[in-house]
Parts: sequence; structure tokens; C-alpha cells
Amino acid sequence: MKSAIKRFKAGILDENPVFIQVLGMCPTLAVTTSAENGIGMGLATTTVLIMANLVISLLRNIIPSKVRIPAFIVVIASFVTIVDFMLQGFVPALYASLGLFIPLIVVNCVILGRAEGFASKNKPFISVVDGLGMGLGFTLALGSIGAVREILGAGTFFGMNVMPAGYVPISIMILAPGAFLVLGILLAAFNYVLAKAANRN
Amino acid sequence: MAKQSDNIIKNAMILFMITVIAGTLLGLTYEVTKEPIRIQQEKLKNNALKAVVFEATDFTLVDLEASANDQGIENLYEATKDGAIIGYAFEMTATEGYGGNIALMVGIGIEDQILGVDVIKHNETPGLGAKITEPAFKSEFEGRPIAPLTVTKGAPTGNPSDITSISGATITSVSVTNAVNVATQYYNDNMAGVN
Repeated sequence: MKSAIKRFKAGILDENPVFIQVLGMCPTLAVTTSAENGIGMGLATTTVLIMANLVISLLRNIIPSKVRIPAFIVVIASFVTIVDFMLQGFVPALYASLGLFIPLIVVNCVILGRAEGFASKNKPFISVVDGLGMGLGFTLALGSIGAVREILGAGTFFGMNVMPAGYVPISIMILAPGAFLVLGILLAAFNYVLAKAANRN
Repeated sequence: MAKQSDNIIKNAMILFMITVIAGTLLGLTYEVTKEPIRIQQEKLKNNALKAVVFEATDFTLVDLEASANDQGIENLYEATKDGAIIGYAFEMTATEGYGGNIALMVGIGIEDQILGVDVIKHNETPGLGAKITEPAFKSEFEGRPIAPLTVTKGAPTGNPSDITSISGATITSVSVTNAVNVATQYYNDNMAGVN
């Protein structure tokens, strides 16, 4: 149980997929134009990450190491496509807000990275915990990048106006260059705070 | 040597089994969800039809001129209320969007004015071009005359043929406006004055 808590914490802080491992840069840069989009993408990824980790972990003794990468990709891509069809057909409200992100998850290297780096070597329970921690760490990172970009670039937060009336939005922040600027600044800040905390210990 | 080739065959067989199982599951899911997905898409389209000619009770597909498809007109619906034609709904594809094609519905009333515009599907940038789905932009077209519209930047001009661009998303705004112009042109050439 103790190792499970440690694993969960690692995903959010010490091994944060975006701020520490710098994985999954495509969705991190592309969809974080608002806090809502960032969190939506994060949660969709979390769901797939938990399921993919579980399946890969269960199959870890069956999949031969020489063909593991194609096997992982087949499992992940099939799983994402099934989720896509199911949402589209049966939960249209959720599909309307998350549908845009689902195909992007297939090419998200966080998922392949966790399958390869963790789930293929560990038992199912701890792999699920790893998926949950990594997923929430990913959500936290995308949500905070999205929030900063939305507040500066559009003057809104979750669609609500938060800036004074005279505020002129800095459009560059919701365009591609803004993604790099905010990612760089937050990445530096995150590591600075972690390093400080580690020093104090 | 024999051992190694055994391994290759064994690996290939396992990978083959995984892909067969994945393929079967995908096929099953596709079959099960095909009908619900079609119904959902139909519903989206009906909502768009209702949104652009909201007084109409029935929509019937009508035949298009041969050249219409090349201009981006996908389908044309006759909107009727109590059996009388009150307008037309054009299902359009705007090809010059920033993120690919934009599917639109354009409603035109028989009193020669635009009734409404609705976006069915798009891939524009969230926060910029994606604002075409917001009422602030869509409502700009309501009540406009059947004449070519132009996109202007900055403050609204009040001119009935000027559409104010979404700031930072001129390409998207122009693309939607051009598609609306194609629809009004077609209406002018084929339907205006007939009723």
C-alpha cells in the first residue's frame, strides 16, 4: 500500500509526465488554449492510461519482448478507437466536448511510455495506480498551462470573464508561440519549487 | 539456428493473435455503434436545420443544379410550415478554413433575407476561429439582405453588407462569409422571385 501511495505521488510530482519527463508534448502544446480544454484532454488521457496500463500489465507475460512495441500500439490504438465509437454512439454530450481529443490520445507518447516503462514490468494493481498518478499529473500540467494561456490570451477562466473591462487580450498566448512560452515558464517554476523542497529535506 | 527461427514464428504468432483479437473487438464495436452514431449525426443535422429556419416544421431535400456541388453546396432543403414554403436551408462546405473544411447550414427566407447560420462541424483554433460557433458571430448574419457580404476588421460599421471579423480569426470569418455568399448567390440565381 505504501508503495502504491508513493507511485501515485511520483506521477503527480517527482515524475510528472509533462514538467519532469517532458513527454506528450503534442497535446500539451496543441490543446491547452483554455483551462477547460487542458483538463478535458488530461482526463480523457487518464482514462485511457489506466485501462492501457491494466491491459498491458495483464498481458506482460504473454507479449514477447521482441514484438512488444507493435503489440502495445495495437492494444492502445484499439482501445482508444473503441472508446471513441462508444462515446460517439452512446454518450453524445461527452463526445461533443471530448471528441476532438480522443484521436490525439493514440499518438500520445505518455501512454506508450508508461506501457513500456512501467506496466510491462509490474503487477496490474500498481500499474493502475501508476496510470492514475501519471494521468492526474498530466491533467494538472495541461490544466495549469491552459489556465495561464486562457487568462492572458482571452481574459477568461473556464469561459468566465476574470480580467478588468479595459484588458486587451494578448492573442499570442492562445496561439502556438504562447504554448511554448507558458510551458517553458511553468516547467522552470515547477522544477525550482521541487528542487527547493528537496533541499529543505 | 533452428531455435531462433522457432522464436520468430512464435513471436509472429503471438502478435498475430493480438491483432486478430483487437480487430475482432473493433469490428464488433463498429457494428454495435454504427446505428447509434448515424442517429446522432442525423440529430445534429436536424438541430442545425431547425436553428437556421426555426419557424419551419418540415424540411425536404430538393435537387441541386449540376454545378452547385463544386461551389461547396452539399445539400439544399426546402423549409415548409403548414405546407407552404417559408425558406431554404443550404448545407455548405467552406473549404478555406484555418483548420480544414467547415460544415455550415445557411438559412434563407423567401422574403429575400438571411435567416440564420449554424456551424455543424469545424476544426478551427479553440479561443480564436472556434468562436464562429458562438451566438455573437452567428447572429451577425441574421436579417442580412441577399447581397454579397464582406468581412471588415475592427468596430462594426453598421453597413448591412459588412460582417465584423472575429479578432485574430480573419481567415475563418472570411471562409464562413464566403460560403454564405455562395448560398445567397445560388438563391438569387435559382429561387428568388419564383415564389
